Amino acid sequence: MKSRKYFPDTRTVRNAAALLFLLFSFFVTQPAYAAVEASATLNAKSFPLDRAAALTITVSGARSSEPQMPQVDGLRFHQRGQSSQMNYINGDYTASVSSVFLVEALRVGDFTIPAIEIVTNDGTVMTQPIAFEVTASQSVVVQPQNASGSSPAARLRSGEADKVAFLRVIPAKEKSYSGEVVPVEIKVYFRDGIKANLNSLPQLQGEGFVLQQLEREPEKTREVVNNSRYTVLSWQSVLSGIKEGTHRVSVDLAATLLLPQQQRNPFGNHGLGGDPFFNNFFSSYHEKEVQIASPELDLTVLPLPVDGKPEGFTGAIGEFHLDVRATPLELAPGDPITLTMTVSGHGNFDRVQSPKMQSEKGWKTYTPSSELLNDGDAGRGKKVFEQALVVKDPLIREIPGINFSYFDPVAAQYKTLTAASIPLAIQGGAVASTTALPVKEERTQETKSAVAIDTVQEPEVPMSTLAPLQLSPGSLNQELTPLFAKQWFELLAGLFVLLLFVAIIVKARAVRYANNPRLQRDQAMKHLLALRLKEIDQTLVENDTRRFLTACRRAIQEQLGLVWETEAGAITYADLQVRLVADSPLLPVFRAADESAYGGQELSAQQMKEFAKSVKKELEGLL
Amino acid sequence: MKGFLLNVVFVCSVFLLGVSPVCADKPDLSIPFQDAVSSYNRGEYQAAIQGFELLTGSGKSAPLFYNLANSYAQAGQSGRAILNYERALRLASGDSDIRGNLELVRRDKGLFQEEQSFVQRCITFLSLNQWVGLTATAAVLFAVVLLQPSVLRLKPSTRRGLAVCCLCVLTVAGIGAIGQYKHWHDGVVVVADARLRVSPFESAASIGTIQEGRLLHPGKVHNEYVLVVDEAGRSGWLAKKSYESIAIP
Repeated sequence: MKSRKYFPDTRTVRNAAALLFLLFSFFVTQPAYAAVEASATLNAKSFPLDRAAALTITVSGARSSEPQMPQVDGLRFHQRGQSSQMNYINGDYTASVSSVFLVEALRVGDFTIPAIEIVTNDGTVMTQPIAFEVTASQSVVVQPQNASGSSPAARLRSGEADKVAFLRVIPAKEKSYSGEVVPVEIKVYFRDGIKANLNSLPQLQGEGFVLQQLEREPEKTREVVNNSRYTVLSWQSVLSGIKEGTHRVSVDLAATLLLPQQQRNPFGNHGLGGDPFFNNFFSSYHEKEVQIASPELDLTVLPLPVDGKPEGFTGAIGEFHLDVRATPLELAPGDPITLTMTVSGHGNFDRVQSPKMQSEKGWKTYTPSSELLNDGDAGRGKKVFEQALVVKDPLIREIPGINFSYFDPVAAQYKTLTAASIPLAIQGGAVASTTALPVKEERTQETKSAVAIDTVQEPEVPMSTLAPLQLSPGSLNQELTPLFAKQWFELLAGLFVLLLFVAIIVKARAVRYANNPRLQRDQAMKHLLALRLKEIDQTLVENDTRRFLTACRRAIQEQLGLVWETEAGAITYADLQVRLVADSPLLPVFRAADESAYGGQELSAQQMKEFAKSVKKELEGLL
Repeated sequence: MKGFLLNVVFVCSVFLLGVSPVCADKPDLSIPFQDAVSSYNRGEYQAAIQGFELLTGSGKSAPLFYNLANSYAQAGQSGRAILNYERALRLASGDSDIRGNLELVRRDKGLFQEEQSFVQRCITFLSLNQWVGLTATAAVLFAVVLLQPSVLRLKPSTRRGLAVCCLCVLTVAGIGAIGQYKHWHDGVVVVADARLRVSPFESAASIGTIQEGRLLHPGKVHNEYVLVVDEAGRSGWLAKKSYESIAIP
C-alpha cells in the first residue's frame, strides 16, 4: 500500500497519452502543409547502346509518389524500386520519396525525356525534361585497371556487357606456319560476386589447330572492366597449326555458376548495370551449368617454304641456340664418349630432334636420350640430348661438327646451327682443353651442300662375345622374393624373438636373485626347512626319538642361524633362552634334544608328534 | 615340463608345415631346358626365348634367367635381356658370367652407367638376401653373447669384444639390406623409345624418351601410368606396359 502512492493515477496517464498523440499528429500532418517539389536526374548524359542509365525521380514534401512514365520512341523505362525518407532536423520535418528507373535505349541518337507527371498524396507535380545521348555500343572505352596495375584489353566486347561470365582468347599472332607454336592467353572473366566452379579446362573448338595441354591451376587475378570488377582466370599456352589454310576457332569451357535467385527481375539483363546490392538482397542462389565460349577467331596456317629446306630439318620452328659438350676428351680406344647437346630457345620443342654429326663414319653411335626442360613460359625452354659415341676408327682425332636446322618464322627462312668439331686425345695424344664448342649459325642456302649426314643404321647382329649358356637349369625352386618375405624365415624370426624374450626374463630373474641377499637367505631357509621337516617326518614314522630330536635341533639351529646371521652349530640352548621369548615352544624341544643327546631321554609318540607340530609351526613362521 | 614339450612339438610341426612346400618335389624340367638350349645353339633365338619363358612358369633359377637373357640379347631385345640378367643377379649376385654379359649388352646398346660410389659398390657386393641373412646371423650371435648361457664361459673383455663385433656386423648388414631393398622394386624399360610424360595421360606433353634397357625406380601409379625416376634422376610418367619390374610380383 505504501508504494502505491508513487504511481500516477489513471487520469494522469490518459492526459499524458493524449498530449503525446497531439504532438505526433502535429509532426505527421505538418508535411501536408509543406511545398511538394519533384526532380528527375539521369546519372549519365551519354551512354552506349549496350549500357543503361539510371533515372532517379525524387519527390520531396510528399509521402507517396506515382510517376507516370511517358512513351518515348527508342526508349524503355524499367522501374527498379522506390524508397522513402523522413528527416527531422533542427525542428524542420521533411519527407521525400525516390523512384529509380533504368533507361534502356533501343537505338543510337539524341533523346529527351519529357516532363514526367507524378501523382502524390498532395496532388500532381511535374519534373523538368532531360536530354541525353546514346552512343554506339562498340565505342565504349573504359579506363583499364586491374589488381596488378593495368590491362591493355580492359574493354568489354560486343555481347560481353550483359554476361556474368565471358571468355577471351588472345593469340600472339593470327598468321603462323604449320607446326609453329603461337603463344596464346586464355582468360575467363567472372563478374565479382558470382561464384563459379569450373567443370572443364578450356577446350579448343575448330579444326586446323591444336592447343597444348593447359595447367590445371590457372593464374587468378582481378580486373576492372567498364567499372565492373571481375575475377579473371588465365592460362598461358600455345596454339600449333596443323593444317594449312584459314580456320575459324574458338575456345569454350564448362562451368557451374551460383547465381542469385530473385523473386522478380523486371529489368532483364540490364539489372546488372546498376547497384548489385538491391538485386542480391534477400535473394537465394541457384546453380546454373553454363558453357562459356569465346568469340570465334580466324587464324591462318601458312605452309613452310619448300625452297632451301635443309636435309637435317625435322620440323623445328622458332628461335633456337645450340650448345654442345663432350666428355671425356682424353680416352682409350673403345671408351664411350658422352655428347651432351642442348637446344634452347623458343619454339615447338616437340619437333626438335637430336642434332646430327656431320659425319658418322668411323663412329659407333647410340640412340640419344632426350629431356625437355621448360622454363615456365609456354613454348620456351631447352631440350637436352645425351648421346653415347664410341670411336671405331683409330685414326679419328676429333668429334665432327654437329648441325641443327630449324625454320625461323620471323626471318621466314631456314637456318642451320653448326657446332665446331671437338678435338680428342686418344692413347696419349694431345689433350684437348675445350669442352664447350662455338656454334656458328648459317643460312641453309649457304651450307646446304656442305651438310652431309650419314644416317645409315647398323643392322642388328647377334652378339658373339656373350658368355655361353648354362647347361643345367639348377634348382628351380628359387624365388625372387626377399628372404624376410619368406614364410619359413618369418617363422624362424618369430621363434627367435620368442626365445630371446624368454631368455631375457630368465636372465633378469637370475640377476635379481644374485643381487638380493635377503631373497637368497629366504630361498636357503625354505630349502633347508623342507629338508629337515622331511627328516623329522621320517623319524616320526620310524619312532626314533634320538634321530627325531637331533633333526629338530638341527632344524632350529639352521633356521635361527640364517635369521640371526650366525653359525648354526654354535647356537646353544642358552642363546635361545636369551634371544627367544620365555614361552617359545622351541625352548622345550631344544632342551629335550640336548637331554637326549647327553642323557638318552626318550619321548613318547604323542610327545614327538606335539614337538614336530610345534617346530613346524614356529619355523614356518620365521619365513 | 610336459606342457613345454608339447609346445615345442607344436612349434616344430607348424615350422615343418611351412617349410614343406619348399621341399616338395618338382617335375623334371631338364628336357625342355635342354631343348631350349639346343634352339639357342642353332641360332633359333625366338624358339629359345619361348622355351625358357615357358620354364619360368614352372620354377625360377639363376641359370634359367641367365639363358633367357642371353636369348633376348641375341634376338636384339636389349630391354628384356637386361631385365633377365638383373633377375639372375638377384639369385646369384656373385656370378661373373651374368655380370659380364650384362656389362656387354649395356655397352653394346650405349647404356653406360655412372660410376658407383664406394658405398654403392659395397651395397651391391652382396644381394639383398645375403645382407638379410647376415643381419639375422649377427642378431642371433649378439643375443647369445649378451645373454651368455651357462655353457659359454667367456671373460668379460672377450664378451664385450664379441658384442661390439656383432653390433658392427649387424649395423653394416642392416644398412646393406636397406640399401638393396630400396632398389628391390626397380624395373627395366622393355620397349624402344618409351616416352616420359609430364602427366599420366596419353595426350600429355613428352619430356623426353627413355632408352630401352634403362633401369628406373617406380613410384606412385595412376591408371595405366607410373611415376618413375630413371638412373639420370629424370622424373616423369611412363606407361606401365613400357617397363617390367625385376622382382616378379
